[in-house]
This record gives sequence, structure tokens and C-alpha cells, in this order.
Amino acid sequence: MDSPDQPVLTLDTYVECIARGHAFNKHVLGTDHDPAMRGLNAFRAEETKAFFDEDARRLVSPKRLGDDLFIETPDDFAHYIKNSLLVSEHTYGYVDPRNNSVNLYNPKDNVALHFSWKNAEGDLGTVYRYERSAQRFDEAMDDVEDIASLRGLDFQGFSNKQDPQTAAHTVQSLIYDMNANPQNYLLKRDPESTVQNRVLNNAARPGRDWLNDEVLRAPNNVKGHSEEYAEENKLNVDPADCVCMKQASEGEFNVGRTRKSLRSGRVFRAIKESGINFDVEPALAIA
Amino acid sequence: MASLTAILEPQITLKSVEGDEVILNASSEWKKKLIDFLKYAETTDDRTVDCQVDLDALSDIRSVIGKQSHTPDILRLHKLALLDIGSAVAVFSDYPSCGFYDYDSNDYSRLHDDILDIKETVFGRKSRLPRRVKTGLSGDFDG
Repeated sequence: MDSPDQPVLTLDTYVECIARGHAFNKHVLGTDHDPAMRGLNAFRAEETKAFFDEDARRLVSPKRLGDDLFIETPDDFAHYIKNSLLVSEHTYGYVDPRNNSVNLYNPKDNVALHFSWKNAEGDLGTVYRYERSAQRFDEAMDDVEDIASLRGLDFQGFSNKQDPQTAAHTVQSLIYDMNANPQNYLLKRDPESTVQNRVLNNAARPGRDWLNDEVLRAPNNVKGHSEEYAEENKLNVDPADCVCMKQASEGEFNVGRTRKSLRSGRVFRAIKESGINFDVEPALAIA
Repeated sequence: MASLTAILEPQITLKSVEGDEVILNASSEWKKKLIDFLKYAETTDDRTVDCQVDLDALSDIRSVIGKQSHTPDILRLHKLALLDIGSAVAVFSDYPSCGFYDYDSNDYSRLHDDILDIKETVFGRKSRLPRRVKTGLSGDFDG
């Protein structure tokens, strides 16, 4: 078990890993490769995009995704997961007995969430919304039920209908076990990397590798709620503190780009040859 | 999602079930296509596969199929392997044909429908997923 000075994985940390992870890029910022979703915020768009399928040589018309959930920022995303998805009476799901992953689906919002610690991105899971999320989720649940039966394992399906805390308690059980038995959560493809050292020892920025992803993933570090999400969810946030994701992304990107250019070979060579001159005029330094 | 060059005839079919093992009719060509699909599923980021499917299991299944590449037209798999393949196939079920960059979309659509058919028979339950290969006029319309 953890020593007192060792950070412990909590529900907040876990949700933050997912909300600031690849799912934010792919499904909120719209970097999804799926032509029906590319460029869309899947949690604001109520329909998929129309597109021309060159292989099938036909126009694919928009399909219903669900209601606008107003999610714009990573904090909106995390808030939605904790305060809506996990506790909604509509949410149901199952535990995969092979790895204890907890899988949830909310048919009202058409959102699926997998608390799955094994993904290569190291952000401990994913959230998504596609046209056929419901069918895919239910098919996966049927598959896991058959797998459990073949292996002689217990299948645990659950629903929030009777008790809206059921899903949250199930996720808490997973987190408790991850803290108590981290040796069971080794990533087989990267045996040195347990959930403990992948996430907890990087507590300031859970799940992220600061050196390698600061440019690509800068928007995921934006803090704060969007004005519309705060308003819709009656959050006590001063409008002055709200975040405009577009502006925040641009700002963070520039910081990232500057930091990256400072690490470039050209800059290192110049420093090696000329040393650092602290007497340079500020205007020249910017130019 | 039917393409103009959709493969209309099933290419992998169920021959029999022996205990926990399924015996499939599959040519060497389609065994290779199945291996290639599993490799694609393991490596692509077109969809997030590894949150729902154990990639190590897919890798093991590739190896099992590879060892049978010279067994004429027969493929023996454990039922668990069939379910893992089915889970990987299902992740791309609604992925548009033109979105596949590293795998042939017609081959995928054929595999998708064949695996769903086999699963339905072996496990005695109707799949939740619609078929991708459409025949007749319905294939030309969307919605």
C-alpha cells in the first residue's frame, strides 16, 4: 500500500487524466480522423458532418449525435464526467473482469466512457460520442459477458436506475484496487511503466509527458470553464474567469512554439559559438 | 457503407464448433487479410481500440492464425479469440469506407459481416451492429 508521502490516485485525478488526454484532442478539439467527425466538437455538435465518401462514391448525410452538452474546455469535460455522466440515472455499464476496466454509457447524451488503464496514450481511458455509440457499447458488453462466462469469471453489469451512485462506486472500487495493488496494473507492453509511475509520480500534470507534448497538447492544459458551460450548468464562476478555448489555445500554442524553438539545434549552435549575450536590446531579442 | 467494389460473398464462414473451439472455412488469402486487419487494429489511431480491446490478445491471435497459414482452407480458433476479433472488428463498425488509410475498406466490410455472422451462430445471440455490405438498391442510398 502507499506510503504517506506517495501520491494516491483519486477519482478527480483519474477523471482529469481522461479529460486532458487524447479524448480531448480527438473529440472536443476535433482531431478525429473519421470524416464524419473531423473538425467537430462531438459534445457540442448535434449531428455528424455531411461528407462525400470517395470509396463508396456517395454523399453521406448528417446523422444524429445527441443534444449539445456545451463542453469546450478540459475543466468542462471533467465536470461533465463527474457531475453528469457518472451520476446520471440513465447511465449503465459493466466491468471487464479481465482487467477491471469500468465501461459506461449514457443513452440520454449518447456518450460512452471507458475507465481503461491499459491504453497506449497512458491517459487511462477514453470518452466519445459517435452515431452508433449505443450499438457498439452494447455489442462490447455482450462480448464481455460471453468472455466472462467462457473463463468462469463473474460478469458485473450495473445501472444507475436504482441508485445513481452505482457507477461512481464501481469506478471508486477500481481506483481503490489500483492504489492497493499497483502490481496488477502493469502495462505489459511497457513493463517499467506502472500506473503509479506513469500517473502518480507526475502529479503536477497527470498522465502527460511535459517534455514531449507541450506543443501538441498545450490546449489540454488550459484551466477554467467556458462561459456557456458554466451558465448552462449553473456553476458559480465569474464570467471574467471563464475561458475562451480558441484564444487560450492560440496563446498556449505560441508559448509552446517559442519553447520548442529555444531547444532547436540552430539556437544551441548559436549559443555554443557566441555564448549568451544578456545585453541584447529587448526589441532585438523579440525580432 | 457499401462500396462499388464491395465483396458480396462471405469469405470466412463457420464450419463447425468443437467444444470451446471454432473451425472456420478460410482461404490463405483471407487468413492473411485477417492477420493484416488485426495488425491495423493494434497500431491505428483511426479509432481508439486499446481502451476496449486487449492489444496483446490480438497479437497472440495473429500468431495463432499465422501458424495455420499453410493449413488448407481451415482456421481453428478458441471461442475467446473469436470474441476478441469480434470486439476489434466492432470498434470500426461505423467507420466510413473512405476513412480507412492503412487497411482496405472493402476487405474490412467483408470481415466485419463474416465475423458478426459467425459470432451470432456460435454464441446464439443477434448482433447489435448493422451489416456493412449491402446488396441491391439499398446499398446506394444513405438514410
